[in-house]
Amino acid sequence: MVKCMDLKKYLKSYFTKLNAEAALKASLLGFAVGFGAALLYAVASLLFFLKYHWIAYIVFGVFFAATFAIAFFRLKPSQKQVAARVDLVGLEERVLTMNELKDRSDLVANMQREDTMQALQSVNAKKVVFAISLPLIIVASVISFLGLSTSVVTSLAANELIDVGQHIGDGDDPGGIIPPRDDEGQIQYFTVEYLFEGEGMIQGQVFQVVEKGGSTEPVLAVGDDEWGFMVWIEDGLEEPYRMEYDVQEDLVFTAIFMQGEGGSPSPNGQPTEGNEGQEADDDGQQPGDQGQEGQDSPDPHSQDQPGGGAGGQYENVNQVIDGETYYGGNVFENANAEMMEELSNSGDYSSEEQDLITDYFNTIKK
Amino acid sequence: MTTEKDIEQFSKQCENIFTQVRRDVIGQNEVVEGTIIAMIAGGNVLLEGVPGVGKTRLVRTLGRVFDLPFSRIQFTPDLMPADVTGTNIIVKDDDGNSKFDFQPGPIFANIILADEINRATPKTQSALLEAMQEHTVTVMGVSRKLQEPFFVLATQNPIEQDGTYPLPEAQMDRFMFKLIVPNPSLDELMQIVNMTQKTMAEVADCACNGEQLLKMREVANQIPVAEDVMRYAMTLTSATHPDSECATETAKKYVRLGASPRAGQALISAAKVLALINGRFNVAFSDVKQLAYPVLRHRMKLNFEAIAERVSPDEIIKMILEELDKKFKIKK
Repeated sequence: MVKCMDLKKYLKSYFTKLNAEAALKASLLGFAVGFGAALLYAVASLLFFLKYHWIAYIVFGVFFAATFAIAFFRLKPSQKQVAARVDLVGLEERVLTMNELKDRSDLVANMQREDTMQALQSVNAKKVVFAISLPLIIVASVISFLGLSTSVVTSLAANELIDVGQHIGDGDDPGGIIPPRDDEGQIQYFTVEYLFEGEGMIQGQVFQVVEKGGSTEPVLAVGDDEWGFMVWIEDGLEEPYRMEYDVQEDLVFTAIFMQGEGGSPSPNGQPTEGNEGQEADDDGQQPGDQGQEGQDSPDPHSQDQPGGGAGGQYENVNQVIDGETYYGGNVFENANAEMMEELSNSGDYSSEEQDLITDYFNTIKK
Repeated sequence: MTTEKDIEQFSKQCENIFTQVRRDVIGQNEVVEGTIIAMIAGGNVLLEGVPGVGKTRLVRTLGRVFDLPFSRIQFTPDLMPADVTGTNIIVKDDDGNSKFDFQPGPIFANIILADEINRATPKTQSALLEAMQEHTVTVMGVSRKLQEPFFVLATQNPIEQDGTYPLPEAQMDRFMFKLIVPNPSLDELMQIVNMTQKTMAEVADCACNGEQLLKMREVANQIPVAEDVMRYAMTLTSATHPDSECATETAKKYVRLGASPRAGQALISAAKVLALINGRFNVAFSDVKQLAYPVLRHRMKLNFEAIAERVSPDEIIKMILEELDKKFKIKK
């Protein structure tokens, strides 16, 4: 008769096998989490230009160890779980029941143990096979592959054993995704500085740092009262608005303001009084229509100026009221005066038509 | 106190009982096994089958094998409750005075064969309720205890037949098993005819008496049930309820009313006997699964959808078991 006994002793081989299964599962989880973390680090190093790629391996090691320890602790089978697994090979819950009766010593408990021991002897321990879920294997394999390959490639590139990689599109960087780097793999930056001489100001960032090949934020040179913008002295650009494209070196631009000369556009793009002298000059050019063809910097505000956007010389007859073009100042005054003169000199208009035209001018004047 | 000898005796007696019953009953192995298990576990059995398949013969045989007083009540539509339980009659004593004297009905026996129980009216069917559950009979306010062991083995024709009164749920619940008695196979039919051509006499001998039967029940009750197995059995019982927390999709779809707690008790009691009959000292999932059909099939009230789709209770139990196998990760 088998009396109270240590179940672990009889189920030792099963314990060993199921502990190995737990270790295997914990390893798979560890690989998945460890390589997942390494993958994230590798991606982060690409995005944020982190330098120390060997950290990816430390990240992997730490996460693998932590996950393995936690998972193994949780997956390690208890005596009851081992009993339940052993029963699955055809012992019909004998071992499970024996485990629950381990502290009993009555007749039925002893006979149950005896019956279980006989049944255990007739069972081959090899019938208890590892049970690892397929999704776990697949997930762990995929993450491990991605994490390992990304980490290795990043490390090799960092150590100049392989090229950093091809840029996407035509040329080296058609999409402008990857910033250019110097020989040490560092991205190149340039400074662009905007200065002025005279009384005025530069609206926008006067000191900017730009990646190689990048563009600056736009700036606008605005003169004080009685002062007008004349030119950017370095490149002779007479447009107060400017931004730089494809910066390849450190740049400095100085805006020149002159007293009583011309006029700077107001911050909202409308000409100040000083600009009025340029409107309707002899060749009909309007401010903003300053022959900018060939300039590197397109002026997105230029079409807001009289004469800009429509092309050709300024003519009263070819101005289109499109809601965007500026028709204030002398443009309106000239048209109004011309119309009033015609109304007073010509007898072609009835009094109702004259009132209608006058009302129209008064309305658009408001 | 159960001894090793009692346990050894259990196996021998079981073997002997089966041997003797099979001398008179050809085939019907599941029905024979189910009836014997229920008798050892102390439950009542409802045998359902068309006339002539051996229901009554089986019950008579069991009465002889267990050597127990046996009463047969043929249920008919005009049978009254007093015909079953007995009644007080006026008798004269030695002094010539009249007095009421209780005349016991046929229910005062150890094995009751309630033949064609669904032919009686519900009022008469109900006369069995107290006897089946409490093993007592109350007449004119006086309760009288029935002799142990007490079993009701009822037979009924399929309720689709004319002139039957379906048993109410309360009465159905008091039967531990409902066993379906199938038509015999061709081979069995040939054996039956061959046997009865020689003699109609029943030849089964006594295999054990009432006292031994009670001892067998006591031994079976000692069989341990692992917590997981117990939980499985109770989950199975609850899973038949469409509104319970363990409700299966099948129960939600086809069942209007699930099994009562008596079903859980019956499952475990019977599973212990089955385990011991199979030479095991513990109850297994397979025992519970095997007994789920006779224990649950008459305790579930099916809904209209099940009736319309002609889904039988056994099919529903099978589906519920399959759902639970996945939940408990039980190998088939």
